[in-house]
Amino acid sequence: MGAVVLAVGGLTVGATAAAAEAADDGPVRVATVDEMIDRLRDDPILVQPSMGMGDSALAHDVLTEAASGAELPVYVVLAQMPEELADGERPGEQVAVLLRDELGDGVYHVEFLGESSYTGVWGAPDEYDFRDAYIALRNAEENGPGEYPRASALFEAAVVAHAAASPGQELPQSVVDDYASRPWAFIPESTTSMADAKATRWVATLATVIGVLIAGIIVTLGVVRAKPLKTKAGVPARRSAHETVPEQMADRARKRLASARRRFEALPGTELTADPGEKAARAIDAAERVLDTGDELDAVGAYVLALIADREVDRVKRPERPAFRPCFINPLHGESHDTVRVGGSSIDAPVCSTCGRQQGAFLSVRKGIRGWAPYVETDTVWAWTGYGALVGDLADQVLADRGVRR
Amino acid sequence: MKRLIIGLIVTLVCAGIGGAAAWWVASSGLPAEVDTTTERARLAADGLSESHVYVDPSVEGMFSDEQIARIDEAANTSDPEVFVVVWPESRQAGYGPSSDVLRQIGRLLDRPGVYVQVSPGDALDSVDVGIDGEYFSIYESPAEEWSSSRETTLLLDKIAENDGREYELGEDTGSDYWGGTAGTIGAGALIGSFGGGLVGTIALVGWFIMRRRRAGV
Repeated sequence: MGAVVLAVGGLTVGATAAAAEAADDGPVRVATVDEMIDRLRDDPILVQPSMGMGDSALAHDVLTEAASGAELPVYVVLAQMPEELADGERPGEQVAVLLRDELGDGVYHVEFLGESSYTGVWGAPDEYDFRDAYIALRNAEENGPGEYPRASALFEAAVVAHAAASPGQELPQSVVDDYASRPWAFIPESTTSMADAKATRWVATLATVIGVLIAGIIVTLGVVRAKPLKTKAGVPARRSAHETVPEQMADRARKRLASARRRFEALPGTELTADPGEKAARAIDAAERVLDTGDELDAVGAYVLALIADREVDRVKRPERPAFRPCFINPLHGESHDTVRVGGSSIDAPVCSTCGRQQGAFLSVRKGIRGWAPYVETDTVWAWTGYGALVGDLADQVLADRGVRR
Repeated sequence: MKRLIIGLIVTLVCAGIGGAAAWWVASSGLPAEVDTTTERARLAADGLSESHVYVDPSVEGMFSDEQIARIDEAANTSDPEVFVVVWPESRQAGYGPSSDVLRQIGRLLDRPGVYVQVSPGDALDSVDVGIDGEYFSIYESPAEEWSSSRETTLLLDKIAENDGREYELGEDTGSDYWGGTAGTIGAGALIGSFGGGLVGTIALVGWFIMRRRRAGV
């Protein structure tokens, strides 16, 4: 009978249906191949303590159960290599052949301590294919515990034995998962000693506490002791790159608007319908819409609209007065009396006298970590109207803008 | 003054929170407290109950009876005592490094001393069990060609070296890696000082830069 050996790269498992009564009281002692053969005649599963993942009796039971129901006898040897094979090559294969000669056809899985495993099938080799078993084993390793999970010889033998017991059938994933969850499935990795791990915990805690304390003290002292920013003596102070919206801007706008409204309401009824009167009414209406939004630029806008309304009330009786146009650079500078070519622009923008002599910094708002941004770079009605510096119908544009947006 | 007090309070709070977080994170990395005993450890402990040398049946004959007797006597008379296990090293026996199984044997025997593993072809290894003593290492690289006479001589030399070293009964809870309690505190303080100094300086410089940028200076 042509013996066909099915060599599976790596390790293998065998199982026998004739589940002989497991071992004696103590661990299995076999020093030679002959002793191994004698032992396997009584019990097809042979596991020594050095290969039993902590409990060779348990390993024996696991393998016996895995191989139960097999048509061909399944033999598994997980043992130390007999000294007589020490100088030979592929001792697992050698022993499998010797075992088959003595014990007959069957599935033989042999792995010696420190050596590669070998699985051979004699009797019906075409029906046996352990590739799926090894693929399942590799997948289990990939999902195994630890940094470099490596399946134990016992885990491998159990998977192969199970596959040998049901040739031609797909190995159930639940079986592999069950094996993988056992404490003997993977080779334990080197672990940090408990004393070292506890000391490391103290080091991490101490380092963090001390580090945060030192960093915090450095920052706190640095911030507290930092002097206000100044220019060097004798050097003209550079103008600030931005001007901020003053605090309580909304209150200022509210007072100014109340004043404008009182003057507007004091106008005779016939004058309310005049063009300046209507403009004043729209400016007051627009100011009221943006006054309490909580936005800094809106508060400035309400203030400017109040000034516009105030001027329009004036213009009811003195129509020769020009409409109010604020300084384009910063409407809080007041009315524009001059013009200046703002960098990057092709038109002259109306500005206050001061900015006409030397352009000041734009009214700006905070933009998160990017710092200050000029109001003309914001996406607001104030940016494209210049708070009325660039258009003559600020109130209408604000009412249209807020009518659309809200 | 107000800013200083606020800054210090914030620093203290952050340090407390950071310390608690570090403790919590480091605790998750602690190895599991395992008191499992593997079959090999039980067999060795049984063998060592009446002797100071246990030779696994698979390596019987590696040492002569005369060599075993000499090692046994030296191990018995050594102070602290030495317990020698002779067997092939295995990664398939349910434990990790050899120190794990030696500790298991020590726990089973409940006899304080130095537990030594001798594996033909591999380096000697040892671990103190139940004693807290001055540093002792039995490690020696294995010879290219193993011989029982060389191994016996080496083992006897190491046992003699161990004999008379200072020790106290009780488990050593200090960390060899960090150098004991003083080393642990020193390492924490050193790492914290350097790290905190660096981070604090970078944060302060960043603050100054942002301040100037925002101020437009």
